[in-house]
Amino acid sequence: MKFSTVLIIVGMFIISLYFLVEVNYYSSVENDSQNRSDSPYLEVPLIGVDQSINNKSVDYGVYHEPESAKPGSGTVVLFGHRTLHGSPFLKLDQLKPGDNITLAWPGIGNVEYRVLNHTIVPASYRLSVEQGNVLFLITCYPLGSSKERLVIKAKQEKIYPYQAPTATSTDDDQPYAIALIAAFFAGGMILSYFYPVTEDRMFLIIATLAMTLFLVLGYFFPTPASGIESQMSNISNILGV
Amino acid sequence: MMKKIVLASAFMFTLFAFFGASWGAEAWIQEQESSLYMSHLSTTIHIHIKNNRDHVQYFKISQQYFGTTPPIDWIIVNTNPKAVKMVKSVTPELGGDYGWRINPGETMTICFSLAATGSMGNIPTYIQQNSSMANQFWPLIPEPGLAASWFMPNEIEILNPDLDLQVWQGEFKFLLHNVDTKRVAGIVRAPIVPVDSKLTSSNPSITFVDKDVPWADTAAWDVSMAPGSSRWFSYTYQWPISSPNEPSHSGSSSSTFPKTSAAKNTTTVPTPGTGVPYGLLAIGTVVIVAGVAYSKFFR
Repeated sequence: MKFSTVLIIVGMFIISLYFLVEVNYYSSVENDSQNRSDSPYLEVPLIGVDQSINNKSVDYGVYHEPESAKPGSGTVVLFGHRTLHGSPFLKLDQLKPGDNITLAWPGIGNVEYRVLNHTIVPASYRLSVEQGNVLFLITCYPLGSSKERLVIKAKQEKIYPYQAPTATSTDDDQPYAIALIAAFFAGGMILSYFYPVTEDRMFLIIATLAMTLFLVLGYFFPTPASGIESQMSNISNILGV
Repeated sequence: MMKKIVLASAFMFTLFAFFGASWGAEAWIQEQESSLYMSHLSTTIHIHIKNNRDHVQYFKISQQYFGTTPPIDWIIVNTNPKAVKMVKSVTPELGGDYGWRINPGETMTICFSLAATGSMGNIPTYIQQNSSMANQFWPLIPEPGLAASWFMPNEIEILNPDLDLQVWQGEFKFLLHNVDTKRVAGIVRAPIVPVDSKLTSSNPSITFVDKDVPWADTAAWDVSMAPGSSRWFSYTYQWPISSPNEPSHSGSSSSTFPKTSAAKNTTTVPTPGTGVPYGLLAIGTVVIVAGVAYSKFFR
């Protein structure tokens, strides 16, 4: 096996880890078409966020910090990924003071918040959850880095009787996992087909198949990929990228 | 040989995609039926309402409450002074909406009684906020007992700012049945609760005030009922709980952002990682490109 073949397989393996994180997320995301009305919802129309809130892990989308309060009874803290895991908070930095945020919370109501400000804090920052009736949306900063956190603070405004959201943005999440696996498989096969070292093409095909199988297992048996992510973050920090 | 492998791989992938339905989807705990059912829900409401405009206004009541599944259909039992049918109704199928004419600047005292009917009266059920949450405390069993629904007595001020609701008082009654074959016990909450209101009386006396819905002091009773038995409950609320000039539902605090990374004397939470660095992805891409370039140009 040529040195260049080893390089390519290493590169494919690194990229497959990113695919694995996303496949895990999309295959395990709750089937909202059945349970949408049971879950609280975060709606930020300005940045296209319309997603259910979970109380399990930030790896499942928008996550409600259990130490924080529910809307109307204190400080609400929501975390969301900015990269991977559906990237619910990808455009969070585009929110400006005065923008509208709504939490549709079954059993409580539709609670409107108005953005007050945004702050950048270190990753080690600990946020007080006793700050009155405010909402904090927190994600990583800058984009593609986990060195700091972007914190959006919004003040509670009005509360209306609960109305279940009708849009179904996350209902279509499920096929993305298959699409991602297909994309990885197709990419690997194309690379293998055009690889200049004819005698090593077989190695690339086998590697593509093995990694695709890896992703398929991640699809059928999704588990939070926090361990993989943690290692990826550590390696990134060591390499300074 | 390579062609066969590619074809076999494509077949395997197609097979996988075909069967790849929704494995791994999460199942949430769903709320179950209760052994205790309510019926004969009725209410008598007294209000003082002022017309702040320089022309006549109507204070109207509908006969349906939408906050539950299915909605509660109310029948107007009695009105004092006598209400008139409105020219246009949101619930014409229930006999239309009714209202009272209020002259410019006039403060009117109105009393009306309603009784729940339809599915509430004929088919035993209990009131639950529309699509109320079943997974709130997942993975713990989220069953809190019989749930309450709530409404805003002063919603008329939002819908019609010209009308100034000064006082609202409502007495609610309902009958609770144990339809089980065994004695049952548990927490029963007032089926409908006005928000921002004060519980002024109840019969029997409440066991506690449930503040799970923060702006509604929900009357809650700890009940134990023999099989087949029934019991009447009544409770009265008054709005407003505070000064009428104080805005309701306004955010009460916007305390300053703590300057230290570990605010003292308050509960704090860490800010966990919410993103995977793109650095490794870039490295992986560069390594692949480098491998291809090396094999093409330097081999």
